[in-house]
Parts: sequence; C-alpha cells; structure tokens
Amino acid sequence: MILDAGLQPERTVLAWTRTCASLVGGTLVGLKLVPAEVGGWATAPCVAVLGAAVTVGVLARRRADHVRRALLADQGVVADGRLLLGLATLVAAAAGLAVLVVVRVAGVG
Amino acid sequence: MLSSPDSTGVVAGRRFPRRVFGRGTEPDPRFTLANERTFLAWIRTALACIAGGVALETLGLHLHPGLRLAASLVLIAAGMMLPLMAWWAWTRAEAAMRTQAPLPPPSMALPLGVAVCLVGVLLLLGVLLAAP
Repeated sequence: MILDAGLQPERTVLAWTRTCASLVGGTLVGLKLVPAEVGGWATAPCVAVLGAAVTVGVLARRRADHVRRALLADQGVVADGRLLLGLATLVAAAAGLAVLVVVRVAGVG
Repeated sequence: MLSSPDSTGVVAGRRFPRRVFGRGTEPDPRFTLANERTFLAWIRTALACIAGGVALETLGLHLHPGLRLAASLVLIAAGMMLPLMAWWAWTRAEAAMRTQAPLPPPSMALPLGVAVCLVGVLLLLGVLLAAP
C-alpha cells in the first residue's frame, strides 16, 4: 500500500486541470484575435481546439478517479498514451493558429 | 504477453503506444504518474512559449519589426515542437521504467535553452536597432 495513494492521482489531475485550463484560456484569447486577424473561417478551428481542450480535461478527471480507486485497491496504475498524444497534438495545432495570427499582425502574410 | 490482462483487467496489447507497453513490467505507479506530470509541465512550457510569441507581436512593442517577428516565430516554433518532443520523451521514460533501464537523459532542455537564448539575442538587437 502506497502511503500517499490518494494524493498522487490528485497531484496528477491538478496538473491536467491547470494545463487544460491554460489551453482553454489561451484559446479564448485566440477566439478574439484569430477571426479578427486571419478571417472568419478561422473561428471553426479555434472552437474545435477549445472543445477538445475541455474534453481532454474531463477525460483526465475521469481517469484520475479510476487511478485513485486502483491505487487504493493496490492494483497499480495502467498508463496509456492516448490522452497525452491528443493534448500534444492540440497544443501543436494551437501553435499553428498562433503562427497565422502573428504573420497577419506583422503584415507579411 | 501482449494479450494477457494485467491486474487491472486492461489488455496490454490494447494500450497505446504498443512499442512502449508491449514490453516489460508495470513500474511503481508513483513513477508512472510523475512521468505524466513531467509531460504536462512541458506542455505548459510550450503554451507559455506560444503565448509569449503571440504577445510579442500583437502588443506592438517598439522594436525592430523584422527582429520582433523573428523572435515571435522562434517562440511559437518552440511551442509547436515541444509538445511533440514531450510526447516522445514520455514514451522513452515510460519504456525505460518498464524495462528497468536507466532513464534517458533530458532531450528537450538543450533545444529549449537554445531557443530562449536566440529569442533573447533577437530582442536585444531589436531594441538596439529600433527606429528612433
């Protein structure tokens, strides 16, 4: 039995929460900037990133409940990379949108 | 034993990516979770880079325009590369822990350090060369 079994998933889910919250916050700023600078079509990818970020956060929280139960039952944690790769892809996509904004603001694109 | 369920009933062969979970044994769960948190810390670093890059250009700071744009693009490029590198580093660390191999050395500290130095140099020149 791990002494801090309940705290490990809590720390981890808090890390997920603040990461997804940062992405949601950034995308909300993006929703204001991107359509104005890049054009109306760019609203859709922003909304998609926003929705996906919220979804990743919710899934991470659900997984944390599962992990906590498994740890308290001394069953170990089953790591899986899907959610992580999804989040990494989302942030890379957000960076792509950021490039569009910056290039338009600078007036070179 | 790719298809045998482990103690939590999850079939190892269905876990992603298979090249990581197809081998070795389950590490201490605390290390698995710490590896995940390290990945998330890199993701937040990437988000900070993107935010910095966007802010630099949209705030209209009084700097040399070309150098300002270059610094901004370096930051955003870092924000694009870091998540993918963080994913790669997570799989390598997880695989190492499963096979009781030594943890791989940090692979992203140098690229990020170089990028931040480059941004610093570009901004310094941007200040010095700004139109009076």
